[in-house]
Amino acid sequence: MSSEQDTSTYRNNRALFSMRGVVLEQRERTRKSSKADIERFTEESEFKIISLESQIDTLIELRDREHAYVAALRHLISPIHTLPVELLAEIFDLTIRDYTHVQDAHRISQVCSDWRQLVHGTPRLWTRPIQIHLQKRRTDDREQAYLDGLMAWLTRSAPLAVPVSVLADADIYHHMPEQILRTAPRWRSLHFDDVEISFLSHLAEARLDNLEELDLGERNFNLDLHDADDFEKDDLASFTTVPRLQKLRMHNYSDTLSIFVPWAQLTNLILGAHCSNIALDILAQCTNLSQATVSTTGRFSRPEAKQSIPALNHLRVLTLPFFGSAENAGKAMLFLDHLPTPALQKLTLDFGDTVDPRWSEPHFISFQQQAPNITCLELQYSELTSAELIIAIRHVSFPHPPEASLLL
Amino acid sequence: MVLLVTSDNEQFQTEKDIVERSVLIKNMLEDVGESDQPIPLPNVSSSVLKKVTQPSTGPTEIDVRGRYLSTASTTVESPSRPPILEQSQDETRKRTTDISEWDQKFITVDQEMLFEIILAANYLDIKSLLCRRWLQDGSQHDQGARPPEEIRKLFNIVNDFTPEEEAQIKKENEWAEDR
Repeated sequence: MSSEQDTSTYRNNRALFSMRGVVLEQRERTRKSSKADIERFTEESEFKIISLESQIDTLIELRDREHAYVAALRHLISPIHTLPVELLAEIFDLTIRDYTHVQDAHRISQVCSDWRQLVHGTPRLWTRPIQIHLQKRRTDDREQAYLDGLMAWLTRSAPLAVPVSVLADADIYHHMPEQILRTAPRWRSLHFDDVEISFLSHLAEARLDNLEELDLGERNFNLDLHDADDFEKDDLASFTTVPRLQKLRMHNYSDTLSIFVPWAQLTNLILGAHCSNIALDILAQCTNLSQATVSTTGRFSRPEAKQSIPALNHLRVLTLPFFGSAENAGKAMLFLDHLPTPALQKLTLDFGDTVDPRWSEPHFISFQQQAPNITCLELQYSELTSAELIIAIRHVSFPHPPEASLLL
Repeated sequence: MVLLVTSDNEQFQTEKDIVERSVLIKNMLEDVGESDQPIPLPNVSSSVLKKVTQPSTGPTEIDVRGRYLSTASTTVESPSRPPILEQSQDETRKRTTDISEWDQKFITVDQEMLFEIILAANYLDIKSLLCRRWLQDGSQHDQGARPPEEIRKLFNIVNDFTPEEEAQIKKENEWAEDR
């Protein structure tokens, strides 16, 4: 025992006996003893201490073992073991919340070996949205540990599909680590906050057999592709192996389209396009859309010919948020001339982000002739007058009660 | 009214809208139509059925502290009993739990009864009575899962991980921190 421990022990034992009393007792005991005798007494006491400590260790071990017996016996008769594993897995599933799912799944799997086995053997518990976070600042060791952990996570959900989002430091990801890419056929949705076209180009080559939703975020794919010298193959991303893709969110603010998907498969589209020709090029191919939000300016890069697109026969809900600078002022509603939507039921026109929210009656009437089944009209931040409003709603087949809202 | 017969042969006349919270019974009633025939519930005892079919305006869950939680209101805290975590370990096996009903009456059940109710809810297919909250951390706003040691303590589960598994768990937690 070290002197520090001695001191500590004496301090702890003060409550049991008086140190002053002990000193007096030993003084009496050694009144006629030599220094050598006292040193011998000390040695004897030290041996006794060692012997006692050994006994204490044994007793502590015995006590701990009995504690373990008690815990194990209580464990065996704990009512929780009456639940069938299927029901337990169901309750685990209910317990895990989307926004804390990593912590929740880990906590439940770290309770005991039985639960761990059950949780690891239940793929649906691992199918909440998972983020792939590619960082620059990790050391190689940490990067490998991160990838190992991520792979362990993704493997547990097999064979089910999982929603995936990708977050990466700027300019680091020109490719996805191969081992992660191997799980791409099981990705149900793929979300980016920001993504480089070269990365998408690489990713588009993967099989994305279960991908239903692709969200390319707010990235402005504003590539200057007019200059042939700048054009590279990697500047195009063509998703061809996406048999289940139905929902797409993308923004393309250049005059050239750089993302390609099987457009005819899409049922839901959120599109931002600075050039209205691009928006119409895309819509012309999206023949199965049922819901679309198309954010555009009304600026046409090919103004000489009126661009016609096939009727969007399945489109029920259309939202058109217009935006643009002074250069495109007043042009927003030109876009309406080109949209035959015979099945459209709900139309929202949002002028909140345009410099000149000017209302154009001819364009709206022209549009209404191609969309005779509107029952719900929503106008946001438009500058139409009362007379224009009366004309605007004249052709709307409002149900009873009518569904119309104005945010002026 | 619907006549239910439990596993211990007790008969219960219960209002139809109450028993139809059970998808199993609802389907049975739809299959047989209007009938005076009793519906046998061989997997539910009378004591459990009493708890499950108490007239309600919408209790949805029982949490680990055994409270019924109404969909229409926030968790009702028991004014009279401390949370189960604050009880001594000796009390855990026959630990009593407060069940706060929608009508603010508290009834008390032990943990065995709580799990019998869960089993019955599963058999009767009453999803709302499957209590996930006993694994959730009531002290947090996000209601995530309780820490493992807390779950162990609540349900007398022992930590039987090998050192290798403990090392794996440590790595998992480091990954979760780093991701």
